[in-house]
Amino acid sequence: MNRCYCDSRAGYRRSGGLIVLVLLLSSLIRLSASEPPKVTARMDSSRFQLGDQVTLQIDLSYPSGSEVHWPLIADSLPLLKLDESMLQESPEDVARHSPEFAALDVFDRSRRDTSEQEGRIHIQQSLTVAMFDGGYFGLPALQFVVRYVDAQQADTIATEPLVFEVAMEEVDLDSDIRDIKDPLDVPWSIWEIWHWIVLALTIVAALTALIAYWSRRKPVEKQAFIPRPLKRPPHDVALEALRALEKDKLWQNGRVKEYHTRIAHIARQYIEERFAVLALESTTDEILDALMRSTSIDNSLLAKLRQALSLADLVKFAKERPLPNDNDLSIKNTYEFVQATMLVENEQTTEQTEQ
Amino acid sequence: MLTNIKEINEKIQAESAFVETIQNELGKVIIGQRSMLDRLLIALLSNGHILLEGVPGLAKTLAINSLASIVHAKFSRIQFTPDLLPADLVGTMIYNQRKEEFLVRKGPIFANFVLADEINRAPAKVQSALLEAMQERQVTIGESTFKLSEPFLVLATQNPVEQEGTYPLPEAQVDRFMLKVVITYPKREEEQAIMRLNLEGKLPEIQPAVDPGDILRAREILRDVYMDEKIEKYIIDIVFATRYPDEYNLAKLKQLISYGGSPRASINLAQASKAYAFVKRRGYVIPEDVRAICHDVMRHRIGITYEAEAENVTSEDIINEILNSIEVP
Repeated sequence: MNRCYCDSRAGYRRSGGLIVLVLLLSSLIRLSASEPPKVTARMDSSRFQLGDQVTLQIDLSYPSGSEVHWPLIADSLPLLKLDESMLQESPEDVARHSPEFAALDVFDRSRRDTSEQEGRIHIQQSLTVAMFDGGYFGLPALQFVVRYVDAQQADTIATEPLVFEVAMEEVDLDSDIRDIKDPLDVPWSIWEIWHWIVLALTIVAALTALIAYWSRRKPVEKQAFIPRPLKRPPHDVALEALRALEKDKLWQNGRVKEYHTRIAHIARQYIEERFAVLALESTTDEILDALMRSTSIDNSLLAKLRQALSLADLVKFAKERPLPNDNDLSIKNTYEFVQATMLVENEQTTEQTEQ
Repeated sequence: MLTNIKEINEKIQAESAFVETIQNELGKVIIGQRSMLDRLLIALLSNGHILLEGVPGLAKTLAINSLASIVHAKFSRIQFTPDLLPADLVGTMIYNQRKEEFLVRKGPIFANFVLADEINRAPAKVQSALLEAMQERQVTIGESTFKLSEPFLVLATQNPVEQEGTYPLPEAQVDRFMLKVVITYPKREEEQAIMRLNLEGKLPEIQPAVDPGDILRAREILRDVYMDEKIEKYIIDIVFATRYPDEYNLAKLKQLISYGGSPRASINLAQASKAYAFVKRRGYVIPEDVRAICHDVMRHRIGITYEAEAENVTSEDIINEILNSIEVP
């Protein structure tokens, strides 16, 4: 049976002839009329624009209990590119032309939808395909192997070949040259940006927690100013110590050495703090010499101090046993020295100001 | 042993008259240098020896020579040189052909007052021979041992300049000197008096006024000079502060001191303090005595570190720091 393609614009009318042509080219196609298994392939449209996405629907039905091997469909399906002139030629002539091969890109595919009804199994799958070349194309038959369980034999069924036309936009060469069109806005899904949303929410949560922590944190208590205890004036300390010494009545109880040792220590400590002389680390002569050189203390006062310190030295280092009057004189002289040389409040303030 | 201070004082007053005699006689020929003369007396009374350090011409030899003349004792002077031998110092055995036997020829160390001039110019073996005699107060020649006569005072000198070709005394041997006295230049008026004295052409004649027995008796009395426990503790504090400065709030000295004073330092400081009190005609020791003599007893017994040398810190500075930090009793 010979058919011919008369007019490319009236391809629909001639599709029967084209199918026959493709059948002839595909020597592998076997038609089976009596068999229960059946497979079909159809497209949304037999004419569409370059780059348009169309659906290729595959329907398979076969008796239950049989097995079908679904053909492997990769990222593209092989096509035959047909010339317009081939539509009017006999299939043998077309075959002699050795047409070019092309590819139908498969963008997406659905899961195989399987159902069983009245002893038959129906399987459907949709492929989203697009073509990026213009012209006429023939999609060869897709082959499925069916293994009959009862008959212990296998058979091959195939879809009918499909012919379609991919139209290209006509260019008006007389019109003005225009700029390239902006990219089309692709509708976006929230799932495309879900990780950004999660990140933003995490940062907001962290900042909120931080601000909440800072705002609830107890304010650092400012340390209250604690004034340092004022140092007692040296004369105060010395006079108190002398009064305590008197009260202890040491020499009256035979503890003469301890008595004079304490008198000497009180006097030295007072001199060290009052006159900034290293009295505790100096001998009696060195103390008196330093006081004579660095102060204007009256000689009579220095003589009283010398009496107290020298007698203390004699008691401490020469086993001296002073008379009771001398014991009293030592503490009396020390009292007088302290009282005569002590700094009163006003003098103290004046001295500090001068310094 | 006397325990009453009054008795000790009276005894000292009676027996210490020679001190003034010596001071007066020495003062005739030596102008100034009072400190050196006092230290000579202290060493003499304490049975110690003195290391004198000073530049040439400061009357070191004259002082010891004059002291020997006053005390009426035998004096010998040994100039230490690099080729000196121990036998030149202590003596040797000489073979007598007529008697066909070895006889002992005693060296110059057999004297009451020995001036070892420039001790650091002789090698170690000679120094050792001298220092051994100083310590043991006896000398062995051949198979015979000879006791050195009392009083026996060695006054060694060393020159702080011209250190090339010298043999510095080891620390262990320096420790055997009771005092190390540093002599400085005289004052202007003292130097003028020295100049006049020498221009007259003849030094005043020194009369032997003191018998060695007086010295030995004074040493006996010196033992009775009272030293209170507080003074003993003060001395111990000073010596211990040179060993463990951080225990005396002197941690800054720790890195400056390589070694501190030995127990001999404590003993000598106590003895010298007693002698100083005796010279001052006192029967008891006061802190002034300890402080007055402390530098001379301690300065050669404190080793200073390289850090101290780099910072120009001397043992004198360390002693001053210690004395100014330890509370006087």
